[in-house]
Amino acid sequence: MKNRYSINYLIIVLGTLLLAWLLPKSYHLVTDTASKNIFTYYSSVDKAFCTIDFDDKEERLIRKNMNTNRVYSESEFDSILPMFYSRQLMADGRMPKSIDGKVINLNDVKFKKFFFKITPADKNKPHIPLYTLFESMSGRVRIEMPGDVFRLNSKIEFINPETNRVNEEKSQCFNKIFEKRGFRFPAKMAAGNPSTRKAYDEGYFIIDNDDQIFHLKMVNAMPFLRKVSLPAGVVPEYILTMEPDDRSFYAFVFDTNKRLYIITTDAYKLQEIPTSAFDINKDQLLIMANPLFWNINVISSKGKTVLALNADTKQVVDEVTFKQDISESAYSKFILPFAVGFTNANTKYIKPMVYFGSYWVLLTNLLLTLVFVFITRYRKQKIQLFSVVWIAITGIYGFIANIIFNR
Amino acid sequence: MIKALLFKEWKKTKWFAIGAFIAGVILLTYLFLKLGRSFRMVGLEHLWDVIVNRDQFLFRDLKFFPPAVGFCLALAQFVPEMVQKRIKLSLHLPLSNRKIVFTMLGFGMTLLMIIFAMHLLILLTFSGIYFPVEITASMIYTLLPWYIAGLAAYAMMSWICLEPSWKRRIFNTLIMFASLQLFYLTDFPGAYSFVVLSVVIIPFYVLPFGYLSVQRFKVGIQD
Repeated sequence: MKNRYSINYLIIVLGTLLLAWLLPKSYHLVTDTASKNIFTYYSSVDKAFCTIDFDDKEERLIRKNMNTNRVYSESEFDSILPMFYSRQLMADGRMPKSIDGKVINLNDVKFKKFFFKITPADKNKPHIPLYTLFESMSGRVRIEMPGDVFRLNSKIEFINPETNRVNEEKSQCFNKIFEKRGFRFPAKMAAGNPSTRKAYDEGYFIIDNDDQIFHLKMVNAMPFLRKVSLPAGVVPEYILTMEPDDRSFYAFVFDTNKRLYIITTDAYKLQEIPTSAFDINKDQLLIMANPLFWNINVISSKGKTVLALNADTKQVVDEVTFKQDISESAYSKFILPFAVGFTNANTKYIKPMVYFGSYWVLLTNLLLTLVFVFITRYRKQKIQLFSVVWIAITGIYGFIANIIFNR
Repeated sequence: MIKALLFKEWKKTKWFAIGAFIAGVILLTYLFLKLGRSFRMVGLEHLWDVIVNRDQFLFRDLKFFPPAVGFCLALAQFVPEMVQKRIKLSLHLPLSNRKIVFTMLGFGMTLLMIIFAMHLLILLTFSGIYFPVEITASMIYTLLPWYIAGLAAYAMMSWICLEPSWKRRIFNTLIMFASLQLFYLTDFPGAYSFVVLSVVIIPFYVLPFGYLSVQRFKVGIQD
């Protein structure tokens, strides 16, 4: 008989956990709405942030200057943000020749304009630690596949995919330079852009076991490895490479103090990119750069902060914050005591997570416990301590599981 | 006595087990031939690139095969017992009911594990020839949750088959589908790497549920 009870408890526990997963999920499925994301860009003409926002009352997009609140038409707005709408303005022949006395070179606009986005899930995802190292100076316009991949364990090893064997000669040649430059295996991470659809290749930026950054390239089939000297106190956590058209920098470095840097092509100097409090494991970062200003968007659960930086000095010119309304609806606050989740927008990994509700729900739990005691007596069943305690803790989930499986 | 019970279970499931193994081998052969064609058409370097840099998984077609085998084995093993309540005969053997039920469930689970282990061995041998250990490891992390889902499907389906009340069977089925979803939360290769060992617990957690249903059967619960 004892076994019977304990198995029943196992079923109730499983049922409760499944409900704690599926009920909040269904609740969100019905109630979730998209959070407002207002497009914000720093105007090099108005010297102020300009936004595009959907107006619920007027049911149309409103384009305006945030400082003066002046509303613009679509074509006026193109002229206010000449860097963002450069292609449209060029097509219309409306691109200004100069802004603030600075001559606007169309090639400059083309080369210095870029978009860069990173979400926490881009970092927190399973990856297979094999890397493709292209020839950086092939003399060909198109980047070609090198015919091997490398791994970084206790040494660097190149493997030929056609034979699935290690290319000893090439591996030894590269290993020698790794030893010579003082690289400490195993590497903590390697960042590169293994795509042939890019203008040029800058290889990999690797964090070694001593938190030093190395730049690895293959030049004329020979290894190129250079240590990047880091300012005191900078411990790299994550690197993302980018091959911008103007070749002004190599990569973004996120350090353990939640600061962001770029590794410039000027002798590998690190330049800090000011961001508002930014956590790469929780927040999204979007950089919209142009020859005059870099727009840094940090999107977190609390809202969005946009910084306009001077493109040359990377000094903050202006800053604006949009707060997100994070108030939980009263309905879920009083009914759902907690929620179990396995997936999360911040990671591609499956991880069990528990989200707790408010203390108010304890009242509902107490009420449900009393209802359960009443039902049990009505059913002329014996009241089990386990069920009472379980419902008091798990509320609606434990209540449903007990009603069904405790007969 | 346990030997005789195991022999009875083997007699019931022999042809199904052989069939499931062969079906698995045919499915794997089909996948290997498909891959062989890709090797010839685009080359291994491109295939490695697609796996490593574009997060593609080559054996996605295997996804629902293990739970299908688990379901069918449970049906093959327990439907004959429940038809005309033949399980009564087994329960009258001079052994404790607990031993009888757990021997039957343990037999099914072991048989399933043997079939799955043989399939995985074939798969890993193939992978070991054409892919480096990093790709094979990611493959294992992706495949394991699906194969464990097969074990969970068996344990859950046995529970449903052994349950005497239809009303409860419906709730059990709901629990089964909800639990099996846990193994298919994402298609992203290697996403279960951190939790794969915890996921192994699920089928063994569920396995004793069938014993409760037999107890309910014994005390005469029915619709």
